Amino acid sequence: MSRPGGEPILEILLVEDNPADVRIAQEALKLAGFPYRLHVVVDGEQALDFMLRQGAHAAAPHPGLVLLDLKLPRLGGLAVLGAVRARLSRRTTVVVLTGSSLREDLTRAGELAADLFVTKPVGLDAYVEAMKRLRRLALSD
Amino acid sequence: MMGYIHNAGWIALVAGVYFAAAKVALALAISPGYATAVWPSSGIAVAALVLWGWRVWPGVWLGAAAANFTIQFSIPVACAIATGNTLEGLVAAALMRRLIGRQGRFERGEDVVRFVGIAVAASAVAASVATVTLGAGGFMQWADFGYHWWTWWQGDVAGIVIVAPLVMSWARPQRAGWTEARAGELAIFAVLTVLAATASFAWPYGSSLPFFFLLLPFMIWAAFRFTQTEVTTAAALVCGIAVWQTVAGRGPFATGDTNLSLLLLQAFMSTVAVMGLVLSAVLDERRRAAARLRQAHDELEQFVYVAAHDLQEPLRSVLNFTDMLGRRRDRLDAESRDYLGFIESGVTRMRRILSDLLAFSQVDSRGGEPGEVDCERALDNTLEGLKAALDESGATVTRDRLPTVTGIPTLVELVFQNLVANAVRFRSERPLRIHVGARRDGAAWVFSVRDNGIGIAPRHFDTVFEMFQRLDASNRNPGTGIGLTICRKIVERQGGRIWLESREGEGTTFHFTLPA
Repeated sequence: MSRPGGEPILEILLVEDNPADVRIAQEALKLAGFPYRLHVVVDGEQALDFMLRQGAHAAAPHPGLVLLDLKLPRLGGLAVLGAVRARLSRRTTVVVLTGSSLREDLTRAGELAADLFVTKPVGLDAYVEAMKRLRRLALSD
Repeated sequence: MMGYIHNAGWIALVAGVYFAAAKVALALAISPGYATAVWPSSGIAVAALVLWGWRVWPGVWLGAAAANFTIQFSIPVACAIATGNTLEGLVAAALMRRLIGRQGRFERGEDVVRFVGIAVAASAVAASVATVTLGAGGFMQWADFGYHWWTWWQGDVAGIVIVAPLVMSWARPQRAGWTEARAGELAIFAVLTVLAATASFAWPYGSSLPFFFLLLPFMIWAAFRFTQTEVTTAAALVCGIAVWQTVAGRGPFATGDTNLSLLLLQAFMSTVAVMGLVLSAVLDERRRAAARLRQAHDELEQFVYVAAHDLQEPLRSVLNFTDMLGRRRDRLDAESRDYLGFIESGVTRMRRILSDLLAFSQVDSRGGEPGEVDCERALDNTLEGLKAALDESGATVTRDRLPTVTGIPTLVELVFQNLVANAVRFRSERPLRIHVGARRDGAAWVFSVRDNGIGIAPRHFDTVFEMFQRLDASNRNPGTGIGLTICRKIVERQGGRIWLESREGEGTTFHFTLPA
């Protein structure tokens, strides 16, 4: 997960309640070839706590990349973004993930103040490519 | 106690209105005698009994008795005739209740026809009782029985057919969106109708031309544009003017021969009233059917959308982990590998179907409003998107000059995409040549996508556009068979047609039209 040497460790916060999607993200990151630390929370409230470093996640590190599932139980993605945007520094890249390729869902995701929205990739290779791209995006800020 | 007072109030109301209508009708009697062209009271009686139930029958009886008393000044005769009139009302109302319930509105064309039959039957009751009473009371010669029965009967029939729907539709008006424009149209309609009716009837007999038939279009206008209330009111208005003028000796029906005048008047009024009612009922029926159809269609679309939408997540999980399992194939035993293979092909097919279903459900409502479509651009985009497949198949694409049409750009592109992709899929061993043509045909453009592929047998021409029809089940031509269905839906939604010509072994040409 972390390697000694020059490459920075990317702290990734994954906000996802579907265990299958969590697992595939973990598998993809293993193959992506860059140093990272993955934190997983399963609902919007925990995501808020993590990003604001309060409650159960008071000792959380500052995430460089946040992968936010659009439909979450207890405080949806939209609400989380809204609450957090003002308080997060620009160093955090927020990516909204949606499982749907339907036009309206993409439009809705686009209205959120995210840095990027993506449809969840299908298949391991696609996911690995996506992770590499997102890392480049996060580090370029 | 309150119930009795309440009832008594209704009874008094019915009796009063019955009596007043009777006096008005009598004032318009065709002399000599009291043969009335229309007896509105019978219509009022039927309407009252249908709407407010049996409890108002004393009102009918009292009104009838009072009215008839003022004619013959004989109590027994008045009572007997009143009984006949009340029976008429009860019989008609009972049959009406079974026919259209308490709504008081005609919702089907057949109901109007049956209503006329009910009026005919019920009026016979009143006419029989009345003429027998008059004969027995010495007010009438038995030799004139036929004439009097006939006159009485047709007055009551006209009264029921014209006045009962009028009263019922005012008592139970239909909800209708009254905009300013519609109210204005109604005002214009009313003025024109009155003018036309007056113009048809207000000329001295013999000098007027029979323009009264022109009043029928006014009924058609009312039936199409307004509710049953306006239709029945217009009919009553026209009939009222006709009776008034004819009694005053004017108009095409005022022949001077009472019988003839009555007959002509009856025929005219009944035609106008019944025609208006039938049209109104049939149009209502059609509107309701259309609304139900629209609703069912919307619900179905919604269902398809929700199903497709909700299926994406579980499908994604299955796809992802089938992929993961596939990477561990060498760690599986032979049977597990086989099973995995079956799962993979099933999943691939499932994914295509789902994506097609989503595309299909999105065509209708989510495409946007029609605008201008630059077909050159649309085809360019399509060829760009299919570049890999076209290069791989070594296809040559030629085209005519493509126009700009009216439609939705993304959907038109989808049509081109499906047709060109089909041409690629169903190519033969010959080098693939595709030609996209366009020619003007009146107010539309006819597009064609021609290929020199394997062609389609004529017996498949109709089914080719059905959902999920795949003519080539081999895996060489993957496709779920919904592409052409989507094309047809898109083209028809934009007001066009799609069809094909083909020769097996030579190639296929798809044609579709779009408005210019």
